[in-house]
Amino acid sequence: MSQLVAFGLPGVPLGCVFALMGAGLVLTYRASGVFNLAFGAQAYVSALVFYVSVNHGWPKWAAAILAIVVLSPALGLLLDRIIFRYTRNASQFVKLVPALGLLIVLPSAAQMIFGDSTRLSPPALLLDTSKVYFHFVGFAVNGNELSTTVITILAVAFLWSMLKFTKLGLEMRAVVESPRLAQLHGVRSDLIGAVAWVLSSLFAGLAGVLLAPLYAQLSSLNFTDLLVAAIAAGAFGAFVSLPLTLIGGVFLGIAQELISGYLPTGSTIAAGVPSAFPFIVLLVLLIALPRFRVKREVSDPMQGCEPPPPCLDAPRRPTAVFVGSRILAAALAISFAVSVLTWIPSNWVFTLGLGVAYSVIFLSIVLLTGMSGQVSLAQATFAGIGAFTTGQLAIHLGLSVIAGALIGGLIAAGAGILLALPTLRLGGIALALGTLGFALVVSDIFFPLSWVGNGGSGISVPRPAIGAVSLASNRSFMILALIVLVVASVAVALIRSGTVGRELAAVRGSEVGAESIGINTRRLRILTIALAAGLAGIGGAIYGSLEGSVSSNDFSYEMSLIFVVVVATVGVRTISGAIEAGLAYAVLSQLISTLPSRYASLLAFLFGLAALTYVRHPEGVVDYVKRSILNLSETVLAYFGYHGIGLRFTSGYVTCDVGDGNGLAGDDRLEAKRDVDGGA
Amino acid sequence: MTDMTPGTAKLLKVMNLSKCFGGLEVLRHVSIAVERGEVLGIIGPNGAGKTTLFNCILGVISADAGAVILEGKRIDSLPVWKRADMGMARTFQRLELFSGMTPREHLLVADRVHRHSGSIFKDLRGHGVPAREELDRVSDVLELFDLAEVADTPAEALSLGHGRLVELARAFILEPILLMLDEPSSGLDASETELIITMLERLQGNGRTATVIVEHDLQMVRRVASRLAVLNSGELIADGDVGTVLADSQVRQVYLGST
Ligand SMILES: Nc1ncnc2c1ncn2[C@@H]1O[C@H](COP(=O)(O)OP(=O)(O)OP(=O)(O)O)[C@@H](O)[C@H]1O
Ligand SMILES: [Mg+2]
Repeated sequence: MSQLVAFGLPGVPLGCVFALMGAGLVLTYRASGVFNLAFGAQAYVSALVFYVSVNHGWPKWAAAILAIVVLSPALGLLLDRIIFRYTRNASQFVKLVPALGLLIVLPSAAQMIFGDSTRLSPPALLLDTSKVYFHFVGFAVNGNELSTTVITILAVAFLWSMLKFTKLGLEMRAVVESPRLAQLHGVRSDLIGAVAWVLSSLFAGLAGVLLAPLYAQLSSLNFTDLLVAAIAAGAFGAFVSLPLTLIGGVFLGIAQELISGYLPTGSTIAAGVPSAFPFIVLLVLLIALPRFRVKREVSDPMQGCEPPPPCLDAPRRPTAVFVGSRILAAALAISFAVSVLTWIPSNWVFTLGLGVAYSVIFLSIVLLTGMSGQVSLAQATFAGIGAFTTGQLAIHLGLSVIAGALIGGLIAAGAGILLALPTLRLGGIALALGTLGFALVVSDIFFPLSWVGNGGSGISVPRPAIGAVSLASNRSFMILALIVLVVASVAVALIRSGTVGRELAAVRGSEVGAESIGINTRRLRILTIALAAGLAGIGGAIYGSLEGSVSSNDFSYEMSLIFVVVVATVGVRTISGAIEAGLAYAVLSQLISTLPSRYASLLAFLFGLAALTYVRHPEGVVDYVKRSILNLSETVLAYFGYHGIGLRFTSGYVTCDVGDGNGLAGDDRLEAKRDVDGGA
Repeated sequence: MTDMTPGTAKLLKVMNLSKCFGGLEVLRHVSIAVERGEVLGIIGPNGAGKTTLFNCILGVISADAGAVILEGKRIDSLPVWKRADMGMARTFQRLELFSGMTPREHLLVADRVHRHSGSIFKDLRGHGVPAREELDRVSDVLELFDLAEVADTPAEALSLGHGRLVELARAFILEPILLMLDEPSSGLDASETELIITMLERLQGNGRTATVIVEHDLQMVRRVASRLAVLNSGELIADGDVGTVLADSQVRQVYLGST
């Protein structure tokens, strides 16, 4: 018993931080519909600013005001005003992409501004961290536990009284209950959204500064784990109830400390389990809580009163442009293949080979997200499964790399199906969260296992041989990689134009409508998840074989997030988008690796920044640029008297409704779409 | 309780269906049957529970209590798509078109789902693109529903009238044994309504399909329905011959009094 308390007590401050974060997350999720995955990153930025200003000799109270009361809420307000107020009626994916972009942008921007030096022993906000202030039933309570608990109670009391006693609070509770109904009753949902962002950012800042001294070092990774715990805390309250979220957060903190207290120290499991624990809880909650199974429209009676936001439409290009771009693309592809096989230096062939591997992985995102509208945050993990399987089969069974890659793909597909079965019932954001949890557990616990990834140090993956022909050189390996890419692209193209592609388009257009004609949407979704996981597994095997080795760092769960952001910004709707994204990502990574180390995350930063524009250009940057060039040339030609060349994209993309959150219907929607296009 | 003798089995039997949303009782012990080939009209004031009844019969929402029996088989635990596969097709009060797809694509996908003629393996072998005969069949249906000139317009750009016709055509191509239409004429002008009526009459020609139609336009109900049921606050208050039901004093009071 006394050991229980001794292990559990240090979990109280951790649990308080989880609770604060969870409350902030639920607040923005309910008031603005955005699942703010960048929450941990916001907390990190505040902690960093606090750390840096205290180290510059600022008094703690001044640093705290700057970091928590000024900077963090200002950032929240800014984000709401420039990004998230436009996503109110948009699909989950449209909301998720800018949040993911932020998750990547904020820490990398901070790293570039403040440098990447190690920051040891972050200062505590109040009181002396390790000094014992009093004894609680015989157990020493130190400054950290005391101050964090007291501040959390104060913050929660503030939030509670605000919600309870102010008019704004009443409106906010109404929005949390039913956004649609509240809107019809004249609640200023736009204002509420902004207030929710400011408040929750305040909480994020506070949580960040409180959390920092609990770790020996200030590192952004700890804060991503924090986000995971916050989501799990939110799941306790089904992302609706604030009190349950608070209780859940405290419970998680204590349970996590208890577990690490009782686990044998020094084992791989002991290193991985505590950080993965919140997500295991989240997965269990998602699957077990009946709350999540209830369909959205039942929990919000007004949800069905407006047409759902229109989904993304594939570009409709004029025939001349279509044929022209096909010829151009074919010419480019052929010259690329020829160049790679002849004059390009071998180290660049290697880089481009990585690009091909990425392209195959990114194709899986096009298949899953672009065609089927589902979001997986575990594609890098599936790729890792492929790579590790290939390596282990080659080491232990001497199996050829090609066979290993296929088996790896199958295992990844199987894992995808196992993950899809429970989470699909939940719909919406649940698959994204479930896959994120899966990615975290697999990359933190499973990949480092000795029989999988040999601890953190990784395993070797050989280059393949076909019969007596060895593909050990970069150039010969590239031939194989290109063949795989072509086969994968053709397969995805065939699926898109075939039965499955049409059914997916129908489900994306209207799920209820698709079911009403007899489409088994669940089966269809599982099928696409399996295909996408398998494809990513094969891409991962190519990556591993080209690199010659694979370790758990190559396919960490952050990579999955970066992958989604990269593909979304370059073009998630097209096969060419995946290939462009893959090559661009590999080449740019190579270029940036020559810069000083503080710019190591510049690439992620740039893609993250581009993702913030996703709301306006869901077709992807590349397509947007292409379209702008064509439209410009049409205008220029018209100026010289050549009219009606037909370069202009006649029917643009159907984007989310941009407005004050009041949905538009029918023809108005079309008008809005034209406005968006015209203004783009 | 189930009617097991196949010869005498009604096409559809709904027995004692009840549904609450929170504290609101939307359906109260509703029992109704549909014969093969007949047209049953359902009328009732706004909020009477007509759409909810449809959704319970088709599986979009699950009823709290009661049974739904199609051709002698209990179907109330089956998912929506399986019921559709058994021959139930519908249209929606609030259109559920596949946005981003053209009417032709709507019909192509429905036709293939109905015939179970596609699979991922066929796709991968390159047999996924529509075959000549599929295109012909779809063109015929488009022609039949007067949709030929908008056949390749994306669904978002269609007028409401065309949208309703596309939904009707999408249901028609499934060759249903039971067609359920939720306010097919709402929001349409006289000539568009006329077109829908013509389509319904033509559908009746095959004598195989039974139709249940929820409609506020009494004129239209009189012309197409052979039987009429009245729903009021979740209760079935009348069910029978059109003329008799419309003459019923309770119906006149509830229905005509509130519209
Ligand atoms: N998902 C839901 N959650 C809560 N209440 C609902 C839900 N769907 C419908 N209702 C309520 O149930 C009642 C019946 O709705 P229903 O749509 O079945 O009526 P209806 O007869 O189709 O009306 P209308 O003629 O307007 O289409 C209404 O009061 C409605 O507000
Ligand atoms: Mg209705």
